[in-house]
Amino acid sequence: MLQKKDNKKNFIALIVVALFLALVLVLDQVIKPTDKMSMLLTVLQKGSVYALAAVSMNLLNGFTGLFSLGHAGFMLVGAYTYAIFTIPAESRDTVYQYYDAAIRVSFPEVLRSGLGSFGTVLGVVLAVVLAGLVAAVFAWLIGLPVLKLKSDYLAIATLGFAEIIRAVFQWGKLGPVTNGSNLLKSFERISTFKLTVGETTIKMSTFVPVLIATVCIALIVLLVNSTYGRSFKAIRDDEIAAEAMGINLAKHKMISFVTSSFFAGVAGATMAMVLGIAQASNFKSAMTYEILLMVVLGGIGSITGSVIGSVLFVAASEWWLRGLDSGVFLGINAPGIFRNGFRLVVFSVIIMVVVLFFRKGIMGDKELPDLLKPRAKKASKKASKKEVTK
Amino acid sequence: MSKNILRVENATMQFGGVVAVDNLSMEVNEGEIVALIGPNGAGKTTAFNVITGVYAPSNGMVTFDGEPIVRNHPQGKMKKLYKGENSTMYTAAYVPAGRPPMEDEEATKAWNDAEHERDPFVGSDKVLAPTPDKITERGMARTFQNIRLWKSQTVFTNVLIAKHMRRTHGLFSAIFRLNRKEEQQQREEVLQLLKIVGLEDVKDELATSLPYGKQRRLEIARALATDPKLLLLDEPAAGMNPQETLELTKFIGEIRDNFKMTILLIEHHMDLVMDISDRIYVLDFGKLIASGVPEEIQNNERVIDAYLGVADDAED
Amino acid sequence: MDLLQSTLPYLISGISVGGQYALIAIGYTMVYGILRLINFAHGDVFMVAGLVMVYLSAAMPLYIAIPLMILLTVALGFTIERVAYKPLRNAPRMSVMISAIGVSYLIQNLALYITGGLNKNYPAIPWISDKVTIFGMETTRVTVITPFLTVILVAALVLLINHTKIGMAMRAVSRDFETAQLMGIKINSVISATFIIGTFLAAIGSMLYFTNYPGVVPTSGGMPGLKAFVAAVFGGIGSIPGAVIGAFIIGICESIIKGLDTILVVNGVITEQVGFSTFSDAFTFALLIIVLVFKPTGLFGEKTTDKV
Repeated sequence: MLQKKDNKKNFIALIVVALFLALVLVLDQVIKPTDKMSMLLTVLQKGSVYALAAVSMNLLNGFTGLFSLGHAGFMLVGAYTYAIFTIPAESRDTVYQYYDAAIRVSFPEVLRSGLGSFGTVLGVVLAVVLAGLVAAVFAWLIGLPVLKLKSDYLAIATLGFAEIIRAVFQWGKLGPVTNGSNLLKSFERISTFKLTVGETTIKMSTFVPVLIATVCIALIVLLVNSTYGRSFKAIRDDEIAAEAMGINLAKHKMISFVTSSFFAGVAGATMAMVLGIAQASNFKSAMTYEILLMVVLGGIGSITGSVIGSVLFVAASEWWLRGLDSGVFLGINAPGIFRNGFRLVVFSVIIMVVVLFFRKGIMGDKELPDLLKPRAKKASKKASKKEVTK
Repeated sequence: MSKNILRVENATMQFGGVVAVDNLSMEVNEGEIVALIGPNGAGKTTAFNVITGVYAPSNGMVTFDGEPIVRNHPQGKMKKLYKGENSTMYTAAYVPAGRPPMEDEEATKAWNDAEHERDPFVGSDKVLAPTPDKITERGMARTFQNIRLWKSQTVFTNVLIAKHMRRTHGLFSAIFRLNRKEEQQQREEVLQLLKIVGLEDVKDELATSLPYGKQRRLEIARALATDPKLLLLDEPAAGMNPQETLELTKFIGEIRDNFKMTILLIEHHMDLVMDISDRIYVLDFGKLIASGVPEEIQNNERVIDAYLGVADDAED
Repeated sequence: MDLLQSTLPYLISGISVGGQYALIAIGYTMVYGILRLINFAHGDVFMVAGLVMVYLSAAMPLYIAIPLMILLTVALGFTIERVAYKPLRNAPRMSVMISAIGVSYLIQNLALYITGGLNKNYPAIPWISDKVTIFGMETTRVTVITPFLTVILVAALVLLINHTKIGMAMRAVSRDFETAQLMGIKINSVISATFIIGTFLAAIGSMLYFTNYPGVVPTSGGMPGLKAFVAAVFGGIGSIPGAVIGAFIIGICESIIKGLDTILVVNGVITEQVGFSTFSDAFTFALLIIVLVFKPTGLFGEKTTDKV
């Protein structure tokens, strides 16, 4: 019986997700880049990048209780891996201006020659998966020494490793691979994502990042609700009890760390394809902090919260609060106050208010299905109360 | 004679200059309920922590189900500090097998003095430095003095998580739900267990919302879910009133009968201890001062002194 | 001789930078000792001290600007504690750390808004910005006096902690927060005092630090802040002498790594530049990780055991 109920729930969830993806695909075709509504597409694109980054950070910080601040480093690894393996041969020499490019493979290009536009998609997917894997390998190497550390020491050590990664990727001697401190560009980016079926071309510049984020977040949801996810929560709640109940701390922390970093790598790759450039100097600790604040905004320990938090964050900073930076906001014209940077100030104040007064964030540790449940319970409680008063 | 399931030999735990457990030797036989008692600060919980692998002992050895599981080792940090009695006996250089039973004092002494073969386990950290989870996997489960439930989880999930260790599927199967059968079976086992311990009606409540007595019960249920051969209870009746203690006494007896469980417990409530224990060990200032059946302990002068606090000089 | 000649400038500037890190590191280590909190905003307070100095010095003479700058910085440190950390006294440690990160984010964005992201030239402070020549090399006077000033300030601080009532209270609170509270120590004033001392030293440090740099930008505080924190961890967090020694070691190593290419080329060890200077920041973190893995409590930290 239990299983039947579960199956039904899963089925509904699947339909909702499919409808959402279909809607995104439609929007992709309908909205033109010149439209005012094209901001919506930007929000969806960047929102999916940050949503994935936030959810993967939440897996580690919120569900396993490991306060790690190395996210930007793993995203950097992902972004670079993706970029390097999708730069087409013709632009390679212009990109690697000062170096002799060492890696001369472009997945989409290789596969395109055999499979057409479908090959491009496949190549992109392969590069994204590789990006995640490389980030995961980095995480594994870093995790060996640092996962033994306790709370804030872990935070500072992971922060340090992220900085080391950034320095290594900017190192001149690695120039043939990473292009030194210069940016990587001209690789496969979302604006060129199209599928040609016969005569019609289907634009997929928003669909692809949204799809990647959706699939990855779904995987994380599955992990969190599995027996492993339950053990992560046990480690978060009480490490000593978890170990006494037979949970191998080193192993489970490593699984969480590596998985989280895998998805951070994928998020980095998605970010590269959305922005069209990849540069190590962008992946500073400030980026980690920003993602952390999105997680906090949404509620630590809630996947739904992280998604909402990051989409709100992106929507506000890219769209709704734009006016705060450009002179006019809500019809008030005050260029003296509403100038460059004001948006971020307002933003940080909002975040501080959340951190101080709404510590649980938007969702607390609840998920979307939980929200529907307690309401029903409350209603029944109310009903029973009424009966009593009668 | 029934089988010896837990055997602690000359366990010593030293923190800096403090010897919390001093040359403790004890055994627990299959099917027994054994109590470890002693005044506050006697080193009972430390002894538990040594047995369950939370601390690596400064000296000594713990054998569980015929296999050495905890032992001091040359790589251990504490080794350097400890220079006391028997300090070379359990270094990994010596073979643990073939030791005579502890009761036979003469033979034990002769064995200790004699030269022995090199240890086959040298360098195998599987035996030398186990983590608590490895020991739990071998069939030893414990509860905590200050209840340590997973507070964000329901009663049911608390017990279910303890089953995680007995999984046969890997990460991939778990994510893609290829382990449904196993999961379903574990859920049923947990439900069954909750029924037995009488927590079925509160299974969806948050663990920490339960009243104190039920939290204790839940901790025991959680330990039982790991399928142990030996259950270690650290002050299960702490903070309970006489009525609750009585219920708990009954409950522990039931566990032994229903699960054919061997139990080692630390307790302060003498009624409970005398009621259910088959044998009792008494610790004072880390040292074993008495052992025997409840009647013997009740009449043992050293024990009475330890509890009533006779001045040290009067004793000498 | 060549080796010494080529290393000396880096060594001297390293000692100076180390002194500046030390002044910031004390703020971290004291706050951590008492609240067990990594005050991520401390580096940004350091940056604000620099910015305030820039604005004040434009409006008034230096002999007013400098004390006023120190006063304002201390007020900022005090306010941050009262507004962002005090309400979370009983919250999980992670919440307070997040609050600290939030404050850091807010200060940086505020600075970005006010400065417009432009580089603000730091005023030349007479006497200390003057050029001097020691061991045949030209440098600014601040480079020479920083280590001495640092040592004097630290000595004063150690005296304060060991011989005054508030110092005793600080030691008690860092040893055992709850018991100290039960013994009637006014926790909040002790914590405020800690923040005041920490930010005071950071304000002095910022004056010494920015004098040697072209200017202040909103992110100027990030790196020195992190490095000072690493210094505090390296020395054993909670220990003031540890933080100072750690800061000097990090300052010197970092400076030498920055110049390693030049030093090695001059001495004929390598013929072309390798680009070690890219790793001058990374080195700090590598050091941190090595320390954390092999001696998690740092050089002078106390060992703690978790109670089961």
